[in-house]
Amino acid sequence: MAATVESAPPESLRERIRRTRGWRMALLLLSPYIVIQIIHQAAPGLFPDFLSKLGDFRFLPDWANEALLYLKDEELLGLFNFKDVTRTVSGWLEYPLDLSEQLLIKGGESFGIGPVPWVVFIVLFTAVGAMIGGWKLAVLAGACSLYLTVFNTFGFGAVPWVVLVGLFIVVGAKLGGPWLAALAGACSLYLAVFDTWEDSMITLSIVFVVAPLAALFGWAAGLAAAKARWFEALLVPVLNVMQSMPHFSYLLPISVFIGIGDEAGAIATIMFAIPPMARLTLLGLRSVPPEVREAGLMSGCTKWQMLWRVEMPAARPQFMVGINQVLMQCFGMTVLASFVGTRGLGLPLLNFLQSLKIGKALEFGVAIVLMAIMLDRLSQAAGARRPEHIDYSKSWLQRHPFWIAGAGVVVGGMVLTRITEHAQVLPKDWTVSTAPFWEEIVDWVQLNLKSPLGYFRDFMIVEVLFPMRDGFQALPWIGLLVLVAAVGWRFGGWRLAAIVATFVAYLAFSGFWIESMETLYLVVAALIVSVVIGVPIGIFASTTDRRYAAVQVVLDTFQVLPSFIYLIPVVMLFRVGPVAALTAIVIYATVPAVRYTMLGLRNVPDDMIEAAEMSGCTRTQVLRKVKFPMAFPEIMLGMNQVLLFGLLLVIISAFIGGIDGLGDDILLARTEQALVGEGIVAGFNVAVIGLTADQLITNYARQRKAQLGID
Amino acid sequence: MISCRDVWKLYGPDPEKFLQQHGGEPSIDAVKESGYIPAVVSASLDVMPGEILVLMGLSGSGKSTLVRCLSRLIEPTSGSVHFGGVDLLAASGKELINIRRHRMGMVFQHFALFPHRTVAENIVFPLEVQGVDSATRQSRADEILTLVGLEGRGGYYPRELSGGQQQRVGIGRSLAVEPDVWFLDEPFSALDPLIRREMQDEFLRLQSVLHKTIVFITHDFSEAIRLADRIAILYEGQIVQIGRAEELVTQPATDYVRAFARDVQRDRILTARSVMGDVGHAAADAGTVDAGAVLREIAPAVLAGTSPMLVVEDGATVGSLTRDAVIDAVWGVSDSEGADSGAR
Ligand SMILES: Nc1ncnc2c1ncn2[C@@H]1O[C@H](COP(=O)(O)OP(=O)(O)OP(=O)(O)O)[C@@H](O)[C@H]1O
Ligand SMILES: [Mg+2]
Repeated sequence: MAATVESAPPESLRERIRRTRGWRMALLLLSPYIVIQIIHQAAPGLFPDFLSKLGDFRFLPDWANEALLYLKDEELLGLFNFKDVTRTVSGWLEYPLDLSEQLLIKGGESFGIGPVPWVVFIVLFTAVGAMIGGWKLAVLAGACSLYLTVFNTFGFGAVPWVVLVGLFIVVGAKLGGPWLAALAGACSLYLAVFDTWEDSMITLSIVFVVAPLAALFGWAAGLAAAKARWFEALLVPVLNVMQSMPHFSYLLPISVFIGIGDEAGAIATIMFAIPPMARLTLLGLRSVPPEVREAGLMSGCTKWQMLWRVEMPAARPQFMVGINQVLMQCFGMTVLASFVGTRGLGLPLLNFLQSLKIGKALEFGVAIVLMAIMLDRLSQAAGARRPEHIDYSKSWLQRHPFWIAGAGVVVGGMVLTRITEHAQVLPKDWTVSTAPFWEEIVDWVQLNLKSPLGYFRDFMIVEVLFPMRDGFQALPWIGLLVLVAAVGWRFGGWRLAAIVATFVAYLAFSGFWIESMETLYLVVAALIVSVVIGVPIGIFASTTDRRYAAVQVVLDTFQVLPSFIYLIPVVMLFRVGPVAALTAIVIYATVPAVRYTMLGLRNVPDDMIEAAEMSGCTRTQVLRKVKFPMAFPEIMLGMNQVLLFGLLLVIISAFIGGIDGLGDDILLARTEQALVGEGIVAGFNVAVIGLTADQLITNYARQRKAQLGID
Repeated sequence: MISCRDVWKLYGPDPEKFLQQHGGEPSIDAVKESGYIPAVVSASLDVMPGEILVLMGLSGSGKSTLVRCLSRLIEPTSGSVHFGGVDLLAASGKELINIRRHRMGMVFQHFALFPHRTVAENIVFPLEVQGVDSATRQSRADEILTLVGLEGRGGYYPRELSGGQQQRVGIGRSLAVEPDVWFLDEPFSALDPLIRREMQDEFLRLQSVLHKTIVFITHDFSEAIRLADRIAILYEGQIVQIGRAEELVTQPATDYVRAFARDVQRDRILTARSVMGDVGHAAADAGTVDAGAVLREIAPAVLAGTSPMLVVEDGATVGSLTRDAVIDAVWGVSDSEGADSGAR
């Protein structure tokens, strides 16, 4: 160690640049960009046009269109038609989707699809059960799928709503105690009483089919990556891209091949939900402590035993987190898939929003929110469960109260349906609607707040947003490229510089530079507002444990809501345009800003704070001089999330209209098949913008955290 | 029982090639300069059947790596390891699994229990992977639970137990197959002092029943002294000295060993044999002490008397012990000062 001190070589220029920090560093990194800007502004003659704006390149979208046409109409390699393949896949999904819907809401008729698919189905479900819950869950899943087989063969009625509500309560009680039972009961009762039962059950029936499939595929991919380095090297970048692509990038191409409807939504949803599961599986298997693995080896495990008896079960908590995420992603995406005609809770919401029936839209929005919360809390509670020893001093009945209650609910419900039809299907006149009330409020707002809201909106647009947009669009692409590359070089060396420079160059040549800037400006504007709102809330919430816990709950709740939901209140207030979109993005993206600020501040070691206090710091000094610098990398990671969230929502909010940018191109592709190529490239641009920010910020945070000695 | 010769373990880009380039035994400096991490350096040792060999050394001195080389959890870069006459490094995957299933057991610092299995299921896991039927497993689990003092806890899960109890489960699991050789990697380091002491007693009790061949890692010298037949001291991957505790104290090979031995209670380690002088003209009536007795036991007698006592071994007089010799050995001014300055 002493040797390094003695023989420290003279510092290279590069090292010295690398050591500058704060303002000086910012200036240093900005300087090449500033030079370019000065030349651009002061001596436009010296600055060739193509370095500022590339002409209207459209070769990428055209290629994409041609590729799509080719896939659609031609034989691939002269062997088969790609479209036929996708249609076949969607055909396979048709059975389980229909069955699941029959079971939950429609009532059964026999398909007569033969024994083989059923065997596959039963085996699949039993396997998933075994994977996540051991033999008990395997037996349960096996029994349920067997029941479904019988159900299909003879055709029963759908499960009565009273039974479902009862089962939700019992499952809630089993997984999380009385509070969760009450929550599950209240949520499912709302669905029934507000006449959203049928649509909810359709959504649920789709989720029940796609979530296990997505979990299975994601799990398999994660497993393969954990076992083969080369596959991991391949998979991780693909996951990165997939997770920063907006939802529509999944929905649109698929609807081209499969057509509008439930199947298209289901397939897009499966693909969309695979990445988190794959990631968490990989993470879980990697995080099995080496000692535990060694204990397996010393016990004489073969490779196979190692995987199935040691690694898999030891990684189960992570798998369960993955399953929770899959479930929530599936739910959100299924709702959003109403854009390509998938039925369920999303479709009426979309229609009501488009026809500005805000009251009804609100009711469906609340239904979506409640269902999301219910699914999330139930699956989280399932994941948080840890095995406990069995108390054999109790009788069998005492040890299995919930199984008995569940059986009681099923039998009781069945009996009830014999007594009254109403137990099977809730009669319409028992349902209520608060829509008129909300309509009145909206009318009142429109009447009385129209001018202040309108004034605010117009001010924002004219004075803030449009100038900002023009500024972004006037940026010469080469300037942005140099800037991004410089930042990349500072935090990740030449490699990172090359990567991010390639990204910006891609944007410049994609044919959507202007649109990309238009999208970027809105997201950056939202980022600024989110930070201004979110960071103070984060600071406030991090000060006491109680606030922290309370804010945490709120954030968790916000986080599971499908992004679509955020449009409802915004449309109520601003109808259309960039301010509406901005507001929606801000609401959505403030969540990670608060979360990461809070996390960063909470993670500052206590002894460090005590040391500062003992040095006589006031509370603000502690915050400014100790906590904030320590938490800064984490807060930057929060910014990263804000950007990614913002990018996803800016695309969705294109649907409310009045803003240009990538989202518009993507949405156009929804109605015009000839523009799907454009839509795909635009979607890819969104991913590239996100990845650029992601690469820069995560590298920065890693470097800085290493310097600070935190992880 | 186990013997290893010239075992090397280097971490780095291509350690095999590096070793070859340097003729199989590079100097430590050459290794460090090239950026390789020398985890184990040319280690040779033999563990006798029924012996407790303790490996000691500072953090990062390569204890864990050496033990993992002996059990081939880690593939040594070069060298040979023989286990009960079998060339361990030449064993096929299948043979290795077989050896581990029947002849090796290991206890880990952080217990390494399987969180998804009950205590009993953890303990008989090695039997389960061998395909032993469940009735046999059940009865074996009961035996082991009794052996490690966890009766009635078989149905519990690891997280429902205290640290000491968890390590009992780890010990139980490593004994389930009645291994010949028992590896323990800092088994008690994660426990607090009282529990640690208790577990050491427990360990000695078990060993008095089981008579295993044991390789035990610790970086606590007093623990080593309590448990060890022989102690091997590691420094930067090298075994710098190997011998009985008394030898380490009286004839430390390097200042590093001396520094290790400095704070021990010498009166508990040194025997009459190692501090006695010539028989000389000791009076025959002054009384006798046994050559193997530690000073703590005989000091009262020696210090109370005025003349030297005779040291006897197997009935024969082999030396004499003076007051001054005892005082010097235990509190010796000159020697311990020498040790102090030597350590610096
Ligand atoms: N996988 C690895 N890659 C690189 N270096 C390693 C690896 N495993 C161990 N080392 C290095 O080998 C050296 C010996 O490590 P080892 O774990 O054997 O030490 P130890 O004596 O058991 O220490 P401790 O008392 O902390 O357990 C250390 O310098 C360590 O950093
Ligand atoms: Mg160790």
